[in-house]
Amino acid sequence: MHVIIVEDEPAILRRLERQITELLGDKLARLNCFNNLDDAQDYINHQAIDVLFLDLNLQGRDGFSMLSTLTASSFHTIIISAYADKAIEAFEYGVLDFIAKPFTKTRLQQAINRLFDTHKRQDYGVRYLSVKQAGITQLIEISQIDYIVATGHYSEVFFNKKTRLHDKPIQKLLTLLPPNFEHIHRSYVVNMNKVASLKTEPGSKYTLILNNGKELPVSRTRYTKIKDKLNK
Amino acid sequence: MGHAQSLNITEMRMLSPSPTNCAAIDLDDSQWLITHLNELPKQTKLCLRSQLHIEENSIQGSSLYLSMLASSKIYWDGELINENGNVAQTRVLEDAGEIDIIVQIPNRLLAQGTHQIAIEVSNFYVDNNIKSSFYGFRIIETKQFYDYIVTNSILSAFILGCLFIFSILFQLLFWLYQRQNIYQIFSLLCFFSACLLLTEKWRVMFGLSYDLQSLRLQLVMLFTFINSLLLPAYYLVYNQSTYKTRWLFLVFSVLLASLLLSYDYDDKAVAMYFSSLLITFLINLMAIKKGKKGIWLNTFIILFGVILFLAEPVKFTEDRFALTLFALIAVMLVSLIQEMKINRLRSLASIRLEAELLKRNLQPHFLMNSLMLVIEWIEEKPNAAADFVQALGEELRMLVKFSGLSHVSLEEEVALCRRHIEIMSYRYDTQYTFNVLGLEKSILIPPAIIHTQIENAFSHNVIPNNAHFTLEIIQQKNQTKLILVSPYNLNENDQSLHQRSKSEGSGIGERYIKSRLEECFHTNFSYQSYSEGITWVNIIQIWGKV
Repeated sequence: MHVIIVEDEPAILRRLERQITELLGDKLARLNCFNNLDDAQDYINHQAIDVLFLDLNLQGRDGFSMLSTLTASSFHTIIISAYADKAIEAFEYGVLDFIAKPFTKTRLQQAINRLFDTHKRQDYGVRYLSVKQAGITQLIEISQIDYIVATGHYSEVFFNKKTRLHDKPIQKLLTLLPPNFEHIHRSYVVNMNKVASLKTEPGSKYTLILNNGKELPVSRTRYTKIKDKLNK
Repeated sequence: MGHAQSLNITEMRMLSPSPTNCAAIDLDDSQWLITHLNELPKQTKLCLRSQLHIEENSIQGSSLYLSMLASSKIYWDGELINENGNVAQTRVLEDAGEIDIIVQIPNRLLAQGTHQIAIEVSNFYVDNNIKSSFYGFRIIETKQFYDYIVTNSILSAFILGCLFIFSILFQLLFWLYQRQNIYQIFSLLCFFSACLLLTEKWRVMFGLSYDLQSLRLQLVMLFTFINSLLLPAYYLVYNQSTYKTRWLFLVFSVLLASLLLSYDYDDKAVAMYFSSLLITFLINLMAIKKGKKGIWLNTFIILFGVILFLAEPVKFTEDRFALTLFALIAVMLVSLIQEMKINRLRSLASIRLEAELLKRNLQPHFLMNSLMLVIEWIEEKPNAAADFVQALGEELRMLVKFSGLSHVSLEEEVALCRRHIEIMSYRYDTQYTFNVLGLEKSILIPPAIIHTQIENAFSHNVIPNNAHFTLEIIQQKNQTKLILVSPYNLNENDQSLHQRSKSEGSGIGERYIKSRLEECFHTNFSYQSYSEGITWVNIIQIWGKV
């Protein structure tokens, strides 16, 4: 796992570096530290990373527009901030976790656990999925999303008859999404609130029909779970 | 003659001393001097005679109105129709009559034809300072005259009542509500305007024995003097003008000169009114030039008063000054009440600012970041943690103390800034320095304004290691400059998180600084904040005393 940390106070940066190294152990492939985001971004532009631990000043709009740019990227973002009152808003923008300062090692452990637990869903109210298109970050309301299709390392997000490409792979996206998003097929994640019906066809072929008429394949292994969820 | 018109008599044949048969119809007065009544001799007994032609019976129900400083006996065709006081040959024997008398002429005496009016006059009590002892002699319609007296008296009584009530009200405000000098001055101005109006109107409203005229005029002079002094004083305080003492000294000198240099009561009054109005007008013009709001109407009324004065200076001395004052007082009252409202809002704002200072400085972001460092050091460097906690405690203690104050000495402010820079040095593991040039301990400033500038530098910037902060205090004759130069990290990258807002005076911290300065110095300050290469410059400039 390739991790970078951005923190402007040297003592805190050293603490994060030390504790993250300990907690990740063997899983840590590379760790880079920066005392400002500019340098970190230069680095990110040339290197693929997995997770960013970021101390961000969330006072004012600038911090959040920065945040939406980051969450549109392929890596997960974990915020470490003294502005604890901004946590809910940060989650709305799709951060994986928000660690309020001052934090303990245990809290850091929890955040790291979330990186690996792909089945756990976001309990917090994520509201937007930010996507980059032609260098501009756009926020998509989560509730508007119909479904997401995996395309290689990227994901294709379908909403309101539109499509956008997201930099995160579908597995990573799924951890950020609320529980009403269900993995119905290796390559498909659907917003269950948009589902009209489940169709069974001969030869154990299952199809999910969305409100907008779109038909999506359901894999056999996931059929029972989907059916239960729809009957609820 | 027209029915509604009055018949003025300004010249009469005069003989002084008066012959014993002054009233006799057959007395030959053809050799007597025709004298204008303004130029009657003083402290003597005289006889005045005149013939009057009545062409038709149109002046039935008419009265003789005589206003002069004298005791008198009035004869109409040899018949005594009025006796005012006791006309005598000497001062001892004279019994002073009323100044203004009105005598109903019996209708039987108003036949068509020529009539003989004779007045025996003695005026031993007339003061030499009085230019003219004569005010008017005319035949008028009785009803019209009384209507005039009643209307005039009711209006005067109304204004007097208002002025006395304002005066009492503002005394109460001063003693029971807020010890503001402006309330006291306003109250006194109302009181003495009322006194002036009362002494001026006493003659019309209640009648006055002519020997008291000098005393009355002296009182009028006294009240005019006081009002002429209070009027500019009011605006000096209200406009928070600079050089109050100098202005007051100027007004006082000019008024005193007016009193001493002119001989006649009227001239004295004219000089005092004019100088007072003119100086007040200048004071207000200067305040308007300086940006004082809300005194346009006041200034306009004063200008109107000056014009009224220039048009008819003599009439102005009668009662127009008091009336101009009343108009001004009405406008002042509105301004004062508006001011009270502003003061109340200001005191609310001041409470809000105190809370804001506390909130801003005890805010989670500063505390939590500091606590994070404490946690780290407790594990890694316990001794450093203890030092840091102590420094943190001291800064917080100072801030709590500051938050309740409206002013702190510059020395205290500098101490707070040093504390903050020390804490930031701990946090960024470096040694920032803070140089203070020209520290003047006596300067008082609103709390935590320099501190806020330093805080801003940290929160909007990546401050390089070992950076310098410099506070320079420049005191010139009438202004004080506080210049803070802090390191500024010029970021080429617009996406930077630490991008400092280029717009002047934005942000919570900047708002706090401006509100505090406004509270302390109203409009007498300027605040600039801009980048200059690799430094950020904050300049506070304050005019007047700090």
